[in-house]
Amino acid sequence: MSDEQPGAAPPGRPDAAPAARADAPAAPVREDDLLVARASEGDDEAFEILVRRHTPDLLRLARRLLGSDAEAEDAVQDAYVSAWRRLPEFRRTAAFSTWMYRIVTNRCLNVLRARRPTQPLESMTVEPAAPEYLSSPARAAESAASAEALHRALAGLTPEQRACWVLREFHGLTYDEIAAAVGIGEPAVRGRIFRARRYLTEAMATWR
Amino acid sequence: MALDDELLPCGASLADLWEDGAPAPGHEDCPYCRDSLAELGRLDQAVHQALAVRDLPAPDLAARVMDLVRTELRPGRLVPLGAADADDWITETAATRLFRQAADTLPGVAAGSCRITAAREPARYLLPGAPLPRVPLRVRLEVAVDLSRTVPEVAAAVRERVLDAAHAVIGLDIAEVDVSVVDLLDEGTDDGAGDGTGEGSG
Repeated sequence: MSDEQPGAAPPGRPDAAPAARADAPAAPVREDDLLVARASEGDDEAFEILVRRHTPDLLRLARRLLGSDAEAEDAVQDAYVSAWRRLPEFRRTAAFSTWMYRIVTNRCLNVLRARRPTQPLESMTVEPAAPEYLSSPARAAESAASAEALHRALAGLTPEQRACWVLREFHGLTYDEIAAAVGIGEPAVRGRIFRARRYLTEAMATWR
Repeated sequence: MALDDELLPCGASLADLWEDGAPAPGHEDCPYCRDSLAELGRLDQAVHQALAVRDLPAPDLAARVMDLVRTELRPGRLVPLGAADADDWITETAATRLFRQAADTLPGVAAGSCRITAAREPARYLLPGAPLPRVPLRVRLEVAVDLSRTVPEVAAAVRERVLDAAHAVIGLDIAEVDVSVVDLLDEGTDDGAGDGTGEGSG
């Protein structure tokens, strides 16, 4: 049942785990399994419960990966439609949430890869802006400013570095789960997370 | 040493230091290690702050998703209804939805997979998606239950609800109902009355 614990604490970094867990889905996995069985047999009402339950977390993931609300919503929507079509073949070896993380990450990586070559280098200093969802006037100024700086810094990572780091630090996935979601080996995941940390610590030092 | 690495002036691996979250033995008082950990700590703090920022929901996204999904419904096979000379049918998805709902009305029962098949192997091979023949039918229903009753009691109650719903609501006579308990529910009564022997569910 290790598949069903996407938020297992990362070894040696106890400070990072609680933050990630706070944001990870609090979905009752067992109930998910029943709903997945129903949905895979064509029960759209069961699928709707799953969609409503997992959309907030998946949307946060897509927003963090893409930095754009509109693109993030499209990615999540496409991922669900794809999941609905593939449910009859879903073997339930992984939890539904892990499976959806995989599909959404995959969609977002495709968007990011398609985006990169067309983006002129000089635009990287201003683009992409922090996601619109961070621009709420009700925000706590300090947190929001830091969050914006972090999201701007994310634009400097490669798509794979960004996906690995976001899944790890924001969503609390294990290296194993990230490897499956991104489609690379576990050592490559560790390498990309290290590179991302290396880049982001420098970027955040400049900001301060 | 990690694959993708960088050494600090003190010789420690930065990748290992950051993965472990603590200096290697012998480096406890090393200023390079301490500074590098502080750097990562500042990044962690930025992550904490980003997690604390409330994001705006997209209220209509789930509805949009379901609008799309419902253009691609999977009604399943047709199940024959009524007398032998009738030409009345119901989709398997509609019938199983009714059976699951019937089971769900029992306290401490949550229905999962539900399938309708011929009670006995059909004489001829059925093409996938072909309507079920007019033969005695079997319902296979998987449920999760709490421990307020024994499994045989729950199975009997579920069977009764399914048979009643089939007969009363759609006029379908089911020959057999197989109930499988696939999981236990945490919630519900906690008086621990049932002994949950787990037998006799068929």
